[in-house]
Amino acid sequence: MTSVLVAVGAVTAIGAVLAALLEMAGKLFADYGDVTVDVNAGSRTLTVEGGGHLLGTLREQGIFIPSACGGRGSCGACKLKVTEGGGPVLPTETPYLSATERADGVRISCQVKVRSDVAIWIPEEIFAIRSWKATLAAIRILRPGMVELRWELPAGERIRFKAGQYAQLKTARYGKVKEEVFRSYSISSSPRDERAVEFIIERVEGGICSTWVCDHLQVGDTAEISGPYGDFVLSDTDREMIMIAAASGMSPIKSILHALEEQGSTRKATFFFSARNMGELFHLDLMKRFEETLPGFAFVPTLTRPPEPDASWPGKTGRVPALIAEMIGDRVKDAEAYLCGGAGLIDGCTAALWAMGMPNERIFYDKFE
Amino acid sequence: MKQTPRERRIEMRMEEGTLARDGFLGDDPLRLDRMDVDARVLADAGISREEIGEVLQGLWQRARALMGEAYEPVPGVTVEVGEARGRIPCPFGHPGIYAKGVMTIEHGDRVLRVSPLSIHMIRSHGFFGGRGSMFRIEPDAAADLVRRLAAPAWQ
Repeated sequence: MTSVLVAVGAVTAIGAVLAALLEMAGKLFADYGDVTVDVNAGSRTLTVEGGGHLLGTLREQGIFIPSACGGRGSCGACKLKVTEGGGPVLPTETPYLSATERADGVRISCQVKVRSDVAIWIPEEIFAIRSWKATLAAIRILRPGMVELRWELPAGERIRFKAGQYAQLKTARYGKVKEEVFRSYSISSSPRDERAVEFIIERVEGGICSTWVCDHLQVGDTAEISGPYGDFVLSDTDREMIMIAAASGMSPIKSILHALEEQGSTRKATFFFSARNMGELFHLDLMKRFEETLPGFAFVPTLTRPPEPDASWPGKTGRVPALIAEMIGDRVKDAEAYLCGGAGLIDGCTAALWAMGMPNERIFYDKFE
Repeated sequence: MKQTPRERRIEMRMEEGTLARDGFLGDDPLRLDRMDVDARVLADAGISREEIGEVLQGLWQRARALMGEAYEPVPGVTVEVGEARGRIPCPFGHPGIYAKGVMTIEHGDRVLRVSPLSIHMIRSHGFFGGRGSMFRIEPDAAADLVRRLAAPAWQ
């Protein structure tokens, strides 16, 4: 018995010594000291503590690279170009990089460790992205499983965004969810409303963020919001607009409609909103208001499931491509399109628009990904 | 059974609140060892996980193209896809991220709930979900579905 206890004690002691040695080695040899991050060929030079990942290091310096997973290496969204330093491309990056991107120095910034001086290139608009601790001012239930949140920025703060752009929301830990996560949501409010942002969020079964939003958030809670991100924006033309969305894909389209309303726009615009049944429709009163204030605007909700025989559904049924052919016809060739929704809706409608003669450069979309 | 470090990492990623709110293991006492049991069920049924993955992927693509409309690949089987915002990585550490969304397949009195990630995990890893988990598919139910769709007419 004594010999067993001695053996266990010896193994434990050896383990403790090895752990201490590893810790000391880490401090002695993995101390990278201060390193510099050169941004856009000398446009900015940051002196940062070495050893962190590029995404987080830039974030600490107030430079917010879009990331859907918050740095877990699981979304591949936080791409940027590393022109010097950064080390070899890691196996965790390769699934997200095309051959062209790799040849061009594009990296997944949450996977790149800043161990020595590094030079990067990022689009100028990234510098406009900011972060705030926002306060939840209102929760509006649009239909079961669909809410619209209004987040107000701290006093005196403003967000300047273009209709169609998105922001990121950082969740809190709750229940068995041990880590905070970042999720991207299109802004549904007016760009003129610079004191707040609104998001339409649908409950995703088993979703970490949407469960937090739908079951845990309360008015007065705070959360980190950063933005604006994205290039899905309202164009500055007077072309006829074809808008297509389903579910929470209404969000950026609603923001675009607010912007058109505030501009006093007379552009011809038709918004095809696809839902399976009447229960999935929402914001009908708001769309009616847009029809009254925007002389060229029409809202066309369509149900993809046949309505119940006793339901008094006066609207359209069927899929959006058939309705575009029926209602827009040849005018498609000269129009431009704004789409937001799942891949099935976007891919199907995009193919239909091409077939009807709309050129690719006039099709703008924000696909649920 | 003693786990390798890799298996421990996979199981950790499958826990509640890590990649998905409810995780992938359900209340299954067998945890990842459920895969061995499921593999034996499939072997007895004479159908491979790859065949099941192919059939489910085909159903997903066809149903998704219908933009929310349900369809019947064969009489008595109804398929419908609901898409959602976001993507999720594979807990096995396999490269790639998978769209969120649910395909509901009703055949007979059985209802299968399938996601792009669960299709991948069945096809590439032989993981049908832990018992009690949201996207658990019983392998015999999946094998039954494949048999019902065996006629090439639907493809």
